[in-house]
Amino acid sequence: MPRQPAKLTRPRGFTLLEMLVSVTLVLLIMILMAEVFSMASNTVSKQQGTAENDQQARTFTTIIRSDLERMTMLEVYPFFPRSSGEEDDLEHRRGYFYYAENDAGNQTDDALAFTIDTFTNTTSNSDTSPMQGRALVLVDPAAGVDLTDPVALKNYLFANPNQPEGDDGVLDGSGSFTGSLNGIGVSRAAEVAYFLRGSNLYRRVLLLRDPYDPRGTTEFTPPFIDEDYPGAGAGQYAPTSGVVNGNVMGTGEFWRDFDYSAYYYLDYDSGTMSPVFHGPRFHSIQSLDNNRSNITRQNLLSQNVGLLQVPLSLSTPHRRFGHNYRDDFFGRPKEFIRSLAGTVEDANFNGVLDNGEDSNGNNTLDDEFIGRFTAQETAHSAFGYPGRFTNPFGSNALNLNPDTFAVQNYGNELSRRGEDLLITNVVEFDVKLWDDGLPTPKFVDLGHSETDSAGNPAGFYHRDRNISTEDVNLNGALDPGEDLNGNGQIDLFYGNRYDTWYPLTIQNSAGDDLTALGLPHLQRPPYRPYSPGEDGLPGRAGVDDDGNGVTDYYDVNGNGSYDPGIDILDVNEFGYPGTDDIPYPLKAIQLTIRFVDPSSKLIRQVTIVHSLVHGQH
Amino acid sequence: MTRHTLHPATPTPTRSGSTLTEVLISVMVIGIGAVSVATLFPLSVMRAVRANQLTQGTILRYNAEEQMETQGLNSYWMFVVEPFGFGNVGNTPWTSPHHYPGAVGDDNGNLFRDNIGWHPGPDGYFGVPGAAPGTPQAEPGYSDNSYVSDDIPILDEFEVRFAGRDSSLIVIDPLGWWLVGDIDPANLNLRNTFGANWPAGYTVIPRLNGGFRGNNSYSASNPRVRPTFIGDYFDSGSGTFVRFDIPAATTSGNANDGNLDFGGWGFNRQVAERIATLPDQYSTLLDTLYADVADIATITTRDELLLPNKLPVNVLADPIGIILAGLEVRATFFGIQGTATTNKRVTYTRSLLHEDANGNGALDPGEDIDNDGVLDVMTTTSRLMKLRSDQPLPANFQIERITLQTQLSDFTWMATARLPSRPPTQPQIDVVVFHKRRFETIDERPYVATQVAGSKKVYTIDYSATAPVKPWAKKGGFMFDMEHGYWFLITNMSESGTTITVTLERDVRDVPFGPADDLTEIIACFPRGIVDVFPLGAK
Repeated sequence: MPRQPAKLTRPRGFTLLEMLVSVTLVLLIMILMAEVFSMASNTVSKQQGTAENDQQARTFTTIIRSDLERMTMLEVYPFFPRSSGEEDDLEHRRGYFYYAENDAGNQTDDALAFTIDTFTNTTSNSDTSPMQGRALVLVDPAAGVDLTDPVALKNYLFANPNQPEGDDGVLDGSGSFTGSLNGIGVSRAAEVAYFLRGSNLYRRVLLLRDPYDPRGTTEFTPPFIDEDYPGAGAGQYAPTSGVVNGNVMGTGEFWRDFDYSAYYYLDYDSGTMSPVFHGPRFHSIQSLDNNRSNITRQNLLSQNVGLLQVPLSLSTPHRRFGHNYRDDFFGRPKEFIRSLAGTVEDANFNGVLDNGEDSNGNNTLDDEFIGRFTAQETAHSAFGYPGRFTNPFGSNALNLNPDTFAVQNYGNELSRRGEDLLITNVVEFDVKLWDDGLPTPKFVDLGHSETDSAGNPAGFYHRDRNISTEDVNLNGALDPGEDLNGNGQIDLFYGNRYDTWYPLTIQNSAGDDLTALGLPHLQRPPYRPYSPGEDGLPGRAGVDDDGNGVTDYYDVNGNGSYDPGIDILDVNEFGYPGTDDIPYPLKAIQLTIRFVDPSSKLIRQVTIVHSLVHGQH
Repeated sequence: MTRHTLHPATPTPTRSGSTLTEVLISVMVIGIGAVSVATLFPLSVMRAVRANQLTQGTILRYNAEEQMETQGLNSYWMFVVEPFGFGNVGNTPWTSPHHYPGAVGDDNGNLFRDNIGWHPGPDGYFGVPGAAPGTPQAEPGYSDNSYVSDDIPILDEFEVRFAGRDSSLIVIDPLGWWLVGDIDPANLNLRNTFGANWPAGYTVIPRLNGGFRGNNSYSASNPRVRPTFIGDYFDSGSGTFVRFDIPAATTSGNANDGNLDFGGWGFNRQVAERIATLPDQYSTLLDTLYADVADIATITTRDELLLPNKLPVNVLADPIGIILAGLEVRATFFGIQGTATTNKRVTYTRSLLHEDANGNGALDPGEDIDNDGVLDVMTTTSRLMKLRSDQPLPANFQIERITLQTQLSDFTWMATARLPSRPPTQPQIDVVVFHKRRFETIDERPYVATQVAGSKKVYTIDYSATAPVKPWAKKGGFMFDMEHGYWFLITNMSESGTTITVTLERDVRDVPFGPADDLTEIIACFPRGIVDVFPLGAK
């Protein structure tokens, strides 16, 4: 008998209607959710971009404001080399302030450099913490120290603390030494430079020595490496071998081993005029004092006026980081290197396309802007300076790597790479000056072309106000003898740059200053706004203050009296002792950066204004 | 062979399907969850927007402080001397190379920076009238056997000017100075007064424009000196603050003669905007990949850019319209520079030019921005974008992406300053940062706020007199005490009839250096759009 099959209960399924309703609802919800989440993720991405950009903005503003607050040049107007400094107000005009606009139509070729001191302005909320930088022990081989013995090395530092490694005060002269030297120097003052390289904004900081000596020795000169630095022949910074017992020893590359401002000290024999090689010397906080001591001879070949005397202070462009220290009368900075096509258009380093320099006729300076050398580049063994007698600041053989935007000659250096990088993906870094000489004051690029209602050049920083030119008498024409390079154009010596300059009249060994040598215009700063004061004339009225043979003004129409708009004032006399002339200091600067958040592609612009007016002194 | 019979499958237990009701309930539950998750997003967006506003606001606050310092507006000296209305910085400039933002001269050319404690008195001179600057006779308060100065010590005068208050108020409001007055032409005095319709018996708050004080043109007897002052001054004759008369620009002489004459300093709306806005906000009019529209887009010359027809006309009409209206449009070009082997990615930024400012079709003096002797114009019918001829794009530059942007003035500031009665106390300044500020009189309309008994932080405002116009009090907004110059964050707000009750973040008596009385009744206003109020530290 066949078995009775079990009775099956057929499970009840969804009806088609139920399915359709459910699926529709689920679909609706999914679409809704997808839409919501799509919007949300879009928003989140934008939010993240905005937040990232905000973060970058805060980083930028915090750091640069802190630097600007500590600027040593409190009264920003240029020195004018002259015979007396009574009215120079050196107390409030320490160090330098430098700003390069270069091409006013290019927002990526500006450079800003100035000196800072944390104790400049203690009344504000500025950052007074000291700055740290790398510093290794400098050992005199004559002392016979075993460089591989950390205790001996430490004891040597204790006995010879007057060097950057000792400036942080970490000196332990007793007991057994088990740790390693910290390799750090500390200072309250530094040179700071901001510049854009490719799409990276760099902040290069070079400390000025601030010696520390717990034994109360105030004598800290010479604040530099002694002549004939041992181990590498005369005038060279030498390696002290690699890493020994955890102590990082000198590599022989100065700016790999030291984050310090330094220059190669080159003197000249007064008789033979031939160079005497000394070696690298550190700048110290004394270098901020723009006084007239510390003069050195310099053979500034280009003008063929014999040996000149140049101050060692940082007011002199030659002594600053990034500037050409030899064979360039003006100490111009090396801000451009040859173009990617291999041409050099800016042969005179002034950052401006002069007549005859446009090799391909495209009306653009094709040279590549580098601003300053980065920490990576100066650490390279081929860089040399200031440890060795090389001159990258005067070289026309440097190439840019278009991918990394590093100077190719020094670009493969691995140490110190990116240490000075501040912000990435920057498309604009622009500095502007507050020009209150304009009918309606505003922030302008240096060398602007604003006019007043009558169409005349207006403002303190109009390009026509650049007086560092071949045009000795500023009449706007090349008079006989003025065209020094014979190119038929009035060239700017120092380019479209603002510089607080130096207070010393450069003299030759015979004691003749450049005015006496017929070259008064060679030492003019590029922009120097001045009012002639109540007497309407520069310097003392009726006195040829600077001795250039012109009393107060060039009498263009020869009528024996000054006619505004016709006769031309002798700008060299402005600010001479005893005058009622008044300088117009720079009142404010404006810094703008634009950067892109790489993931969200959001562009952010940050503009900060910094006042250079510091209340009542 | 036994044939196995397949056993039937074990009967499965009955499974019932979900009912529609169950499905609907599930969907509802999911929906509620999803909605509640989704509501978090706008919340986070709002927080992010707020964070961004605060970041921008903080940057602007610092800029405002620096701008005020540049103009000498944050100095005690500035305020203490300004009410006397010495219209000109002196004819005799100071001889020190320092620049003193608060340096002041009298109408007759005497500088009295160092003599800040004195008013020159009715004769308008310090010491002996006409005494040579620098001589003892020109010193303030100079008296000898034959001459007694009428100079007045400044403290007495100052207290008189400010009605003997412990502190007095000034509002520094460059944009408001222009815009609030503009909006309400019948109330042009709003330029010089913060707040309209003041109740009787109260001293109005002067509004200063933060502008520039000029001087006459240069001459041998009237040398150019530096402007350092805000553009308003207190006219002791009429007892009001009045606008400083800006002198006309003058022509300069030979551009190269080193004689840096220039036109008189002006203050206009553009200057006000430069001073008081954050310049980082842009409205993007056009953002396009150049390759997308490369069919027609060409650079005709290096200083002209013909935008492609493919772009919608209205996109183009807007920037051109704006240019014609006198605003700047910023063009940013992203692209590649160089040849194939030596190219690099670069960005150029240029302004679009429209030089015919007065629309007369001629190149008038001052219009030739790029100094090329040619009138560069754009019209609403042309796609030709003019760049400055002295700032062309380089020849080997290939454009990839273009953006056209015009600047927005979203973030703006004004400042309120409580002035000390005696030196050397510095003024206490609050910078108020706005987002999309409304320059309307209602934002600064004074209302009487009455303290609720028993609380020092709850006030009621009866606006029946102005109903239906009511104060813009809201939670998270600010109340400004127009008598004493303090800002209070509103943490709560309720409304009943024509009475608004606000709860303040802090007890009115807790304000540092605030008024001594209990403030049972204060005059207050409720401006809209405030991002935050930043008190400035002492510099």
